Amino acid sequence: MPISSESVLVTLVVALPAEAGPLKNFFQLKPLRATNNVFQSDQGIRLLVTGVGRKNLNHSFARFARTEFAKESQQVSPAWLNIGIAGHRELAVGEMMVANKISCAVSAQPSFPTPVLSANHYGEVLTVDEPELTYPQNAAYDMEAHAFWDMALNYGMLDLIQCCKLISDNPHGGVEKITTAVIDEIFCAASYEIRQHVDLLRNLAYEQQHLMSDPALYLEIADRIHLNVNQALQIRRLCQRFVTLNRESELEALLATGYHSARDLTQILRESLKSAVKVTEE
Amino acid sequence: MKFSAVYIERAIAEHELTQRIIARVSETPVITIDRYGEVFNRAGQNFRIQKRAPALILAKKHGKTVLPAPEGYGFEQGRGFYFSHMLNCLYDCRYCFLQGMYRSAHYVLFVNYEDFMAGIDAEALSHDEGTVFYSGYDCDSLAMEPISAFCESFIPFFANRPASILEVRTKSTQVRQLLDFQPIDNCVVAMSFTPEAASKRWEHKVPNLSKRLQAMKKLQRSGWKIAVRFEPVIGEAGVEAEYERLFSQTFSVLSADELHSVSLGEFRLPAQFHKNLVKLYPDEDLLARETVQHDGMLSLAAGGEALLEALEDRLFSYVDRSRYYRCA
Repeated sequence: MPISSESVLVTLVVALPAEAGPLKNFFQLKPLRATNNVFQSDQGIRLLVTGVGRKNLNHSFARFARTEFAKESQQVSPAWLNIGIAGHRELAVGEMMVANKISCAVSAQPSFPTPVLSANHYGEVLTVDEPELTYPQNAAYDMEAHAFWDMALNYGMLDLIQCCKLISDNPHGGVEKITTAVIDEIFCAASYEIRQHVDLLRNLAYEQQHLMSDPALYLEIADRIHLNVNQALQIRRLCQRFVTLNRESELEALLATGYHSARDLTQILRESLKSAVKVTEE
Repeated sequence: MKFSAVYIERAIAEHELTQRIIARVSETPVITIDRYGEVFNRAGQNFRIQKRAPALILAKKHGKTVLPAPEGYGFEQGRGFYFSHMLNCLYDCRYCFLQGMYRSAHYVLFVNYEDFMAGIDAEALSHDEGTVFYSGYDCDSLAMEPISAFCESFIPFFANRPASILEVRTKSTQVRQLLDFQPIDNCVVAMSFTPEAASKRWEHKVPNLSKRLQAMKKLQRSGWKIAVRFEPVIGEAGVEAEYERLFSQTFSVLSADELHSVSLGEFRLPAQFHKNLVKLYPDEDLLARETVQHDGMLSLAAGGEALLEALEDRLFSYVDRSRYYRCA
C-alpha cells in the first residue's frame, strides 16, 4: 500500500465516557460508522473509549482492530495518547502529570515513554486493578496505562506513544468525590494542555509520515509496471535520491523516454545518478 | 545544558559523580532504571525524534572498558586503545556514524570512571611499548565537561602516568577546565574541522570555526599539545578551494610548527550505518549522493584518492609532512 503523508492520525485513548465527552467537544469528534466507542474528526484525531481496566482496554483494541473500518482505513496512527483520571498522593486535583514511567502492580516490567511532551509535572503511572485508596507510592494510580502501552506498541511509533494523567483524587479528596461533573471540569480546565500535546504529537507524526511517504513519480511507476518487493525498494530509493538531489525534472525526463522493464528502469536511473558524479568531478 | 529527563541506573544512584550531576540538573525529572539498555537499546526508537530533546542516562559500564583502536586511528606510535565513557554527542552532525550505530539519541554517561582508569592501567602495564588512549570515539570528549567532569578526572590521572598518552577528540570550545590545569606532555587535544560552508550545512549545534580556532589557540598558547583533524572530507564541486581557505584560516590562528599532528580523513562509514542514516534522513542530500563500497565501508564516489592527494599537496604548504598522517 502506498504511504502518504496526508493520512496521519493521532489516537486518543480514554477509559470512561465521562472522559470522552469533553474531548469530543474540544476536537469535534463524530462517531465512526459501525462502532459505538470510536470517534473521529476530519482533523486527523481519533478517540477510542475502552471501558475501565486492563481487560476492557485489551478487548476494545482487539474489537476495533477487527472492525471493517480499521481494515479498510488507509490512515495510520503513529501517535497514541492515553489521557485519563488518576489518583496521586501529592499532586492536587486537576493537575496534569505526563508519564515518564509506566508500571503495573502485577507485572514487574516497567515501560518508559520517550520524554517528548512538556509539562509541569512528570512521574510514574502505576496501573492497578482496583481503585487505590491509600496512595502508598509517589505515583499516579490508574487502571489502564500499562495495558495501553502494550497494545499501542503494536500500532504506533514507540517515541510517539504517550500517556498523561489528570489528577482526580488524592488523600484530601478521595475517589468517592469523583463524578461526571468533576471529570468534565478537570478535562475542561486542562483543555489547553491537552490540545498542545495533541498538536505536538500530530506534527511529529506528520513529519515522520512525510519522510516515509512515497515520491509521486515512484507511485506513477508502481502504477504502470509490476514491481517485485526488491525492485520496488530499489526504484523507490532511486526516485527518492533524484528528489533529494533536486533532480526531479531529470527523473521525469528519463521516465518520459520510456523503459521496458523494472530491471531496465533500475539500470537507467542508476547510470544517470552515477554519470552526474563524473560531471561534478570534471 | 538541558536534558528532557535523567535516567539513573539503580546500581550507581549513590555514586559520587551521579550525585554531583543530579545536583546540577535539579529541575530535570529523574527516573530510576535497572540497566541503561532498557531505555537506550529498545527496538523501534527514532533517533531523529529523540534528537530534538535528548535525555541523559547515567549508567555503569560493565565488562571491558578499554578496547583496541582501529588500525590507522591516530598519529602516535605504540599500541592504540580507545575508551568510551559516553555514548552519543551533544552535536548533531548529519554525517555522523553514531546516528546509524545507536537506536537512541539519548546520551549515556558511564559514571564509573574508576573502572575505566583500572582498564587503562591494565593495558598500559601489559604492553612494554608506549600506549595511546583515545577518547571521543563514541562521543565528544569535552562538550559535556560541566556535567561529565571528564577532564577534571582524567587529566590528573594521566599526569601521573607519563608513559601513556591520552588523545581527546572534540569539536567543542569547552576548554576552561583544561586551561585551569598545568599542561601535561602526554595529553593531546585533537579538534576536527571541516570547511566553514560544510560545517554550517552539516554540523548542527557545533560552535563556529572561528570560536573553535580561538579555543585551540588558547590551549596552544598555554602549552597544551594540540592536533588538527581535517575530517570528514566530503568530496564535491569546489571542495579544494574550500579546503585551501580552511587551511589558511587555521594556520593563520594556530602555529603549525607547534602542532602535535595534522590529519585528513575521508567521509566513510560502515554500509549498514549508512543504510540506517538513510532511513532516518531520506531527505538529506549528503546521504542521497553516489557512494562506493570497499570491504563493507561506504564513501562518496566524488571523493577518493585523487581528492585526498590534492588536499595533501595543499596542506603540505602549511605543515611539515612529518606531522601528518592520513586517517584510515
